[in-house]
Formats: sequence, C-alpha cells, structure tokens
Amino acid sequence: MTTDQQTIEATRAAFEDIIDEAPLPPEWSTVTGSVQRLHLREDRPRWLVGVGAALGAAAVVIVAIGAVVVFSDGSNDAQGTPATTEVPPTTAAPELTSTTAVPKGASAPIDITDGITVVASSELPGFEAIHLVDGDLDRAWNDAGLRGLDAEITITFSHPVGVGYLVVHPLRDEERFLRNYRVQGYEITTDDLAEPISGRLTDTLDPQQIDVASTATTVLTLKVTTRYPSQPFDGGPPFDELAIAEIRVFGDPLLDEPSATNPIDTTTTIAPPVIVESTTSRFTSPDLDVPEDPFLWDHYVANAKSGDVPVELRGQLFKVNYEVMKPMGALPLEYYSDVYEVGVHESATFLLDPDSNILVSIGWQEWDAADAPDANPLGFPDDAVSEQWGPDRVLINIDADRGEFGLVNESIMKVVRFATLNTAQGSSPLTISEAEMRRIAADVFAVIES
Amino acid sequence: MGVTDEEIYVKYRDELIRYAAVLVGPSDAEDVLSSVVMRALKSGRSLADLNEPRPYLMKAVLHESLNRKKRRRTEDLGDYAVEAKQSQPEVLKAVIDLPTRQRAAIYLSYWGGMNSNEVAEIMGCRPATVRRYVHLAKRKLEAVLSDDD
Repeated sequence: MTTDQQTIEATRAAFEDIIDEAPLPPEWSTVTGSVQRLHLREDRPRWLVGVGAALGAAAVVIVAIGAVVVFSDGSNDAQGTPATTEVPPTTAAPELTSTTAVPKGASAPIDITDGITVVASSELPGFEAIHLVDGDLDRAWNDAGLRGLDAEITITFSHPVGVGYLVVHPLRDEERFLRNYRVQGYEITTDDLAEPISGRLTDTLDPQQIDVASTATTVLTLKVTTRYPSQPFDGGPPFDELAIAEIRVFGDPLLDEPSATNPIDTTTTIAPPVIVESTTSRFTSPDLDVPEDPFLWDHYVANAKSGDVPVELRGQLFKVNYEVMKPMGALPLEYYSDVYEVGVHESATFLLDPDSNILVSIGWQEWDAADAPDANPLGFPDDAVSEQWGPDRVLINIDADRGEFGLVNESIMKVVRFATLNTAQGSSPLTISEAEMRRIAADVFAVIES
Repeated sequence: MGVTDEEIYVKYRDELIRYAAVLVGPSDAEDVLSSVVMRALKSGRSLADLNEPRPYLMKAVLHESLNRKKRRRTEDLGDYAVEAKQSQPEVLKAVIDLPTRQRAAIYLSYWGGMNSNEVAEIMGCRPATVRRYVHLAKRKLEAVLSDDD
C-alpha cells in the first residue's frame, strides 16, 4: 500500500532529476536581443498583408450590410426623440484597424476580431452585443438602459490567442455620442493574466487603444467601472444607455510561429484561427461523436463555472454538482451551448457542498486498467469507472480519452439523472451495492451507445 | 527609482527555468523562457508595470509550454526524456507522461510546497481545479508505485 508521503517523496525525486538537467536561464541581453531581431522580422509585410486582409474583410462586411444602416435606437425612439443621422451608403467603410485609427508602429499585431464571440451583461433590442464586433461602426451595442452600471462585455476566442490590445470605438456621431453614457473607467481580465488591467478612457469621439499583452487568452472580459454621463444635445434629452460602437481585438493568433530556419512567407495571407480536428470521440452518440482537439482542453477546463441541477429521487430532491463549460476551442462552438462537465470530488478534505449528496463526474479520460488496476476495483470498461463515495455519496465517473477532462451535454445529463435515479433505493439515499453500481454503469453505457 | 525589467527577470529566472524544464523538458526550457519574455516585451508591455510579475510569468511559462506541446504533438514528436538518477525510472516516466497541467499542479504542490489556492493563482484556474489535477496525477503515480511494491 502506497502512502501519500511515499507518493510525494517519489514524485519529488523525479522532479529533482528533471531539474538537475535544467539549463541555466538565458542572460537578459540574449533574450532582449531576440526581441530586437523579432521586431526587425515583423517589419516584413506580414502585418500589412494581415491588416490588408482585415480591411478587405471589413469592407466586405460593410458592403454587404449596405445602405440599410440606419440609426433607430428603440429606447431612444421611445423617449420621443427622432432617430439620429442616417448614414449614406457611400460612407460604407469606417476605419477599423488600429494602424489607421490608433497608430501602433510597424510591429502592430493583426486584427483577430473575426470569429470571436461576444456577450454583454445586458443589451437593448436592436443594439445587441454582436454589433460590437460586426465591423460596422454605425451599429452599436447599448446596455439595457442601465447607464452602464455593472456593464460587462465578455469576448471568447475559438482558441487561445495573444491579445496585444483592444481598440474601442465610441459612437462617432457627436449627438448620439453625447446623449448616451460612455465608458470612462474599465477593468479587463483574461483567463491567462494573473492581474486585471484597469484604466480610463478619454471622453472623445476618437477610437482608443487599451493594451492587454496577454499570451494565450481564450476569454477576455471588459468591465465598465465608471461612466461619463449622458447629456442633452440640441434640445434632445439624454439617454439611459451606455453605448460602444465597436471593439476590435489586435494580437497574435498563435498560429505556427516562424523560426529562424523557416522565415515568414511574405506571400502568404494570415489564415483565420482554425479548430484542429485531430480525434473523434469514442462515444458513438451523435451528440458526442464530434471532432475535438484534445490539446485545447486545458484551456476550457479552467473556465468552467459550477452549479447544480436538481434531481428528484423517489420524491426527494437532491442536488447534483456540475460545471458548465464556457465556449472554448476544443469543439465547434455550437456544441458548447449546453455542454456540461460534471464536478469531480476527490477526497473528504475537499470543500463539498454539504447539501449535495450526489456527486457525479463525467469526463473523457483514459482509463487504463492495465496501468491502474487498483483504481478500477469494480472492473468497469476502460472508459468508465464508478465508485462509491463515502457512506452517503456516490461518485460516478464516465471517463474516456487522454487523461483530460471532458464534456457531456444535456443529453448526457439526462443519462446522469437516469443513473442517479437508479441509485436511490429506499429512504436511505445512495448507499448502493457494488452490484448495483455495475448495473448503473451498464445502463449508462447502454444509453450512451444507443 | 523603480525596478527594471531586467531586475525582475533576474529575480525570477531560476524559478522560471526550472518550471519550464518540468513542463517541456530541460532541452526546451530555455526556448520557453525566452519566448515568454519576448512575447511580453514585443507587445510593448513592461514587466515592471505588473503588480505581481511572478504569477504572470509563471502563468506565461505554462501557456507557452502548452502551446509548444500542442505544436509538438501535432508534429508527433512526443514527450521529453530525462535520466533517472535519484528517482525510480517508472515514477519519473509517469511524471513526464502526465498531462502538462497535471504535471504543473503536482510540481507546484509537491515540489513547491504550495497549497491549492497558491497553485491556482500561478496556474490561473480555480483551487478546485488544482485539486482535481493533483488528484488525477496522484492516482496515476500511486498506481505506478503500487506496481513496484
């Protein structure tokens, strides 16, 4: 029997061997010299090609939107004021790149806004968050008449990117600009930066840049901490909405980086971020048999939010802990709207929800019975294991693939409920036999494979 | 006079290179550390502007390692190898074969002596996630050790 202390000591010895072979860290001058060389390399037309592509894409978007762009703020109309300026179709292409709107220098990152998803804490009908990234400066996001209080904008990337900076475009029509609330103070958090970035925008019609400098961001949140108040303009009353016309994200899409021996091909345009389809789930359920990129799993695992679902067992209500995954890069986004990863609980020292007595873990995790026979005492198939969790708790793992955490969707939650329902016997909940656990696992897999 | 970028780098570089060695292997550790600093500097941001440069840099090392691993796996180059001197070869191999985040969590916990809250700050995730990483890693390592008994 291996004790915790033995495991720790054996592991520490392994780390000692690894660290013994670690090189000396490079000198500062070596590192900074590399940076200077990189800047020289980035002076090549790569960025120009990327920016040109972004400009082209923006122009296409604007042209497609065409002449129907009209300011018709529902809330503003409701306040009895006329809709503001119509934009003639000929003014189609607004300035959307920081290289023109906010000069950044020759090494400016490229526009990586396309393909991101954006969600706001609230939105006014007709002024949804999607307008923040639609490439159209004349269509804006408004909060739902909350004067910018607790306003948050969450941007999610399809895979980790390095965010260099944001460019925030206010409403560019002076009347609309002044009659709405504007961002003053902000706080930006990302899932890869330890510290939030806070600052203050100037109350100006010009677009403004917010530096981020993250390295591998999948989720970025911009929180409005203070606002410039709306004000009457030319007899028109002030509005209760905070408005932003557009947010563009510039940075590094973290595609394969050029090396010294494989310099940038200056004739190649920058491809949009892609989802690598490298594996297929072992589950045969249509809901789960989707391409996934296991190498990106880590990035969404850290971004789950937890909660619980009620499960009724023989007339008694229990809670099942779960974690809802935010949209990330491992699967096509459409699979994330109702994707769950159910929480796992390892030892009694963990902070368990005292009101929860059903703890379920469902993930895709390789279960190598040959390597870890003791961990699968019930002899479930390689991709499933269930174990009793304490005298009044049950842990069900349905695991497959690569030792990382995985996903279940709503259909699998039904399976979980089905399984947990079957664990409830009599008035003493969830004290079940090994034989019953075997039956549950068989039932679960029968449903999954059906 | 404030702290310079170089002083911050010198202060943390030993810890960072060890962490990188654990995550990607000794031969790639220097590249990872250089890339992290390069990324920070090329973005125009100063390390000295950070309130807490250590967790920022540690997290950057982890993300760079994950990105590197992703590219390497794509090229099917596999994991790194280290000679077992003080450790049991099977345990060393099991440690190296752990998924990167699990290896990071268990390194920071077992070697660094940090609790899950501290590790979570370094890794940029929730303490519960750290505990999960440690649990999964421990389960695999215990299995290896049990086989040796």
